[in-house]
Amino acid sequence: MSAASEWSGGAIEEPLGERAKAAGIRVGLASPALLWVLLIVLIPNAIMLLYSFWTNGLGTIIQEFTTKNYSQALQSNVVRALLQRTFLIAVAASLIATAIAYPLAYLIVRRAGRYKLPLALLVVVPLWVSYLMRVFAWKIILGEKGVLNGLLQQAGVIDHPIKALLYSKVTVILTLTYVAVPYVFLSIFTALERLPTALYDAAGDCGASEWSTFRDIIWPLSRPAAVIGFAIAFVITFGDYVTPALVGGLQGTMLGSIILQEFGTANNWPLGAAIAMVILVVSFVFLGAVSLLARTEAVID
Amino acid sequence: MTSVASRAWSSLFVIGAAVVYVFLYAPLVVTAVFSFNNSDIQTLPFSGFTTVWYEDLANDVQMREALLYSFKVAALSVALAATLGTVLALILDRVAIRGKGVLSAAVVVPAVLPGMVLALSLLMMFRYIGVSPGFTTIVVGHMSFIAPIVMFLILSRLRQLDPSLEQASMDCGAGRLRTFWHVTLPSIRVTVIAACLLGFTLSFDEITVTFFLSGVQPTLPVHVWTLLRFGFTPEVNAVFTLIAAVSLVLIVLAAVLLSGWRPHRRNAPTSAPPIEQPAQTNVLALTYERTP
Repeated sequence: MSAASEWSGGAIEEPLGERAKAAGIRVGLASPALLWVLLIVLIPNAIMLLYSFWTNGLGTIIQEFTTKNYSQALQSNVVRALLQRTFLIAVAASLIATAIAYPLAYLIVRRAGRYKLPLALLVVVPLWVSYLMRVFAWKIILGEKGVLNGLLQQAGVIDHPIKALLYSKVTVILTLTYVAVPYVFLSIFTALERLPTALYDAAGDCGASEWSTFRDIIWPLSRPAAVIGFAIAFVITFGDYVTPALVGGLQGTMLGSIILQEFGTANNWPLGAAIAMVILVVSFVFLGAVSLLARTEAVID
Repeated sequence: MTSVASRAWSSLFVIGAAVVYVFLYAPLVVTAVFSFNNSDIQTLPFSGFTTVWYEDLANDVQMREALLYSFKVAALSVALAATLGTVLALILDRVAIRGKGVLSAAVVVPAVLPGMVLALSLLMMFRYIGVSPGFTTIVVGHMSFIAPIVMFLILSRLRQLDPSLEQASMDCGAGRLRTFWHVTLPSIRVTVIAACLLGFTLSFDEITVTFFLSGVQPTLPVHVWTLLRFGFTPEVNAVFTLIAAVSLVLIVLAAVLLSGWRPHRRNAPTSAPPIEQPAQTNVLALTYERTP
């Protein structure tokens, strides 16, 4: 034990027994947190892991260890295709959301002056509006008799409504991008906001253009926040099942829809659990890889 | 760069930003507008103003039951989450134990897991111990992701507090409990209330976790979700608009509460951050809601 940690116990001269007692009291005080982690995090996830190694037999769960679910899931063409599609959709939506949110955050921080906070809040307000409503609204907008087709027809751009607007991969990407933008924005905005304005002034005084100030100073400092925003968007979109169910149609089915099926009509919990574990592992591996990129080139403080 | 070119870039950026705001608000406006449209079909041109969908809503027994159920779920899960969140925040702020870094990361896991994974893990645990889906399971599910958010807000408040206040209280002979009741609790009270308001809107709107954990009686979002999957009535637009309006009122209230407080003065350190800083961060922190 280092001197510093002994101080935290407040007992330098105390005998060992006393020190152990103090540590015991501290663990006792922390027990609600330990219980929380045990009951809400560890046990449920351990049971899910267990389920994924069991099998489904005529309405009952056979509690024998097997890797059948995983081999079934990973060998199934449907699951493989959906895994690939879900991954691509999630990456595309998160990238587009980041590409939208970053310039917007930069613009608001640099140019909005005293309207900075209201404008930033306006971007995140949609997060507080019903999630179902945000997704469903796109169905009203993009449907065959929807608002967009109506507008285009009235304007004389098209004669017949375009059917392809709804129920496609692109619709799912658009809707998930819409859902993700505020989260990514939040991450980037708070980071850009913390950068002292003196940085911009100093670079400007040294003759740097706004672009080179951005490229050489602001981007290296804010890149981690952009990556974190991207990662949040990925986690949200990768596991979603509401959006594909509402606006995806057959073309836009995602992995989440399959899990929904296994826990619903197909009633094969172990297989569903195995697919859920695949989602969990893929997101962790991907986020791990991404966080290597997030390593900052420069730090301020 | 010449000034003409840079001005062209600037206006391009501003136009781009305007487009983004339209993108963000069009769906919300469309839903609200169509909730007053006098037609079964969601299309242009508008057929006229009506409040008939709101009247339908008021007479819809299933919808009313779902609404009441959602209220009960939200009230209980927020009450539990607020208590637990406060306790967790106090532990992470005050108790020095080994592996605290791991502990504080583990505590927030339910709020950062994909909603589906949280729901499934809880569902399987409940099935394993023989609790059938219903009120209890939904409440536990909601509590699991709301408590870490409450904890996060309270923790950032606790870190702003002046520790000498509590020390003074104990020097004057008050025990830990009395000090907590008379000194600590009053100074975090506003944050707790704001966190409750936020938690309420989150619980009220939640669908991903709730869907898997609900039994026969659906909450309002689950009921609406079922309606949407098996057909559609414009009544849904009306209920969405109402929920959005109520959520926004609650959130604005929470934001005002959170930004209204004055940070305690801490012997005026020379490198003190600007006064608005903590308040601002906390208003934005409200939006660290769980991922759907």
